[in-house]
Amino acid sequence: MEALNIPQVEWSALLPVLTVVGAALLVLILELFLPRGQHTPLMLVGLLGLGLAGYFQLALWGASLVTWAETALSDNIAVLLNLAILVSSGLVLLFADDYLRARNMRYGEFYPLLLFATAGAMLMISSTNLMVVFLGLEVLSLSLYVLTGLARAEVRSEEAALKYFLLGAFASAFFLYGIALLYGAQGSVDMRVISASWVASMPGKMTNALLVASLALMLVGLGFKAALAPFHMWTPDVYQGAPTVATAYMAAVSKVAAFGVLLRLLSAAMPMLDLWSPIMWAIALLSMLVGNLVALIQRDAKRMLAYSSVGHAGYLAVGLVSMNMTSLTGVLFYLVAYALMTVGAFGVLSLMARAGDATTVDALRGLARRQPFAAFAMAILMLSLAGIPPTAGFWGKWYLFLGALEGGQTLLAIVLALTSVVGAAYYLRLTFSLYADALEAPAARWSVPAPMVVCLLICLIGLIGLGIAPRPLAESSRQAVERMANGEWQVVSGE
Amino acid sequence: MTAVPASAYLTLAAFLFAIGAAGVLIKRNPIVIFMCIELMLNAVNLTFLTFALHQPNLQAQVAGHVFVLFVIGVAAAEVAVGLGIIVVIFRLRETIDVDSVSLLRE
Repeated sequence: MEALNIPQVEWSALLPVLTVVGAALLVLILELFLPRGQHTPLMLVGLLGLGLAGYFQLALWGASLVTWAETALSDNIAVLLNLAILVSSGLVLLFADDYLRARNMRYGEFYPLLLFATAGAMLMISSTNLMVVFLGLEVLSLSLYVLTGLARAEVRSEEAALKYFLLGAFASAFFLYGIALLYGAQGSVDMRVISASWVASMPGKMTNALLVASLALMLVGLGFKAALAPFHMWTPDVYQGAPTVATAYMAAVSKVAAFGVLLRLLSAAMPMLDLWSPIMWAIALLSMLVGNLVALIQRDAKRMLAYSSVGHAGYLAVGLVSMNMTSLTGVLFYLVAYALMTVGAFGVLSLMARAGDATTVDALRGLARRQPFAAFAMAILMLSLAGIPPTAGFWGKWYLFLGALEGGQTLLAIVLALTSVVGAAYYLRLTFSLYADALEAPAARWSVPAPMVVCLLICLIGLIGLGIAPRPLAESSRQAVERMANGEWQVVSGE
Repeated sequence: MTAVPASAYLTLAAFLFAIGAAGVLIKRNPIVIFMCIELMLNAVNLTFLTFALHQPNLQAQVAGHVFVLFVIGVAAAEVAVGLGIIVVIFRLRETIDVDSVSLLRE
């Protein structure tokens, strides 16, 4: 019997995730010692942890480490997407306190749950080992189920949580079965082995069939997390029912994490391109059409953004189908921009929901008179979501569009452009209603709290900055994708 | 001793998974739906263990076994969260039937 080696580990690769987990545990303990409802210190500790994790993450830029018995990895894709996750978590933390207080949900567990979810999402991206990816997915999902049902006194919130929970657990069972079949085919659950096993497997043989089935099942599980049609049914209900701060968080973070994994998985399954690309093609087309067309007839702004997030998932899927340098660069760029736009947009909606106003598009009418800054920020965010220059949303779509043309997916490129026009229709309708006269007197007067101002300013500066100078981020994304394609790994393991 | 072939285990697991998936789609009680999901997870565990039995080296065998342990742990965590949500809903409205859980549909 062989002995198991104790692998050598490189701590720095997991340091960002560990820092977030540490902050979460610290917040969990700290909450016990604080008077009820006093959560500002929790927020500060959380922000400090996220900032520190961001610093450690930035320090890993350029390194391609594979360590912890090849279960942890740090490459530029992980750095880029983890930073996007950390920034969105930080922004949500900034404005959550005010919302929770106003809605009478002074539950201290919000902060540790949010930090645990962040750690889970980061873990998903920081590994090619599907066991670690699965654990990250579950840590993220379980925290999100609880965050969705955080408004314990509201039936809406609990129903959303139940729906999200049942469908989420269902989807992760599919994902798991896919991993099990992959294990059967290659004796390892590492994504990087897939291409070699596929090349070695013979058509008509067991291994071959197992690999195909496993990829299909994993796509179901990840498609659910990423809210791709036809696995998007939960999205509108959960986005609408969850407390708006939780919606802001899950919309941004779970999309980044799920697409990070999809990006890694599909590029690892590159030799099987002929098999999965028609499926992803159909998924991308369906998501773009369903998301944008259904969003057009929504009256509730949260539901509208939910359907539009399905549409955005479709755009990102176009980038994955095209599978070339430009399109994958586009996917990374778009994910970063999308995280900023979504957090900001739901942030403004949380201001309204906080004051007890409805979140319908009609209730947004006349916002510019009452709250010029919030309305201005919302307008810019909507323009960016619609993909109008000079905002980051435009460049994201541009790279995806170019990538689709380069990859020969002309039809998808055309549908992407056309559905963007449909998208612009409902985003602009919302923007115009901000500057139109109110239908009736607003239910309550409210002000924009200082943390929210900071958060919106960060979103706006980020989006317009990336819109004017997209080059640094685009170059870094391209570099990250190239490094992954070349498979330059520095494996730290051994005896 | 005649060993049970791997294909038998795998077929059983596939059947269990299919039964679980069908149950999720047709049952109305969230607790029963949840039991069906557990059935699917156990089918996955059976698949893992069957494949682990046929791995050539120890490292690969252990990878499968460890995965099963993690799945069991995650399933337990899911039970805690899921039942918690169901209990809160029951307190709020005295019913948990998923058909009546439809406030969100406009």
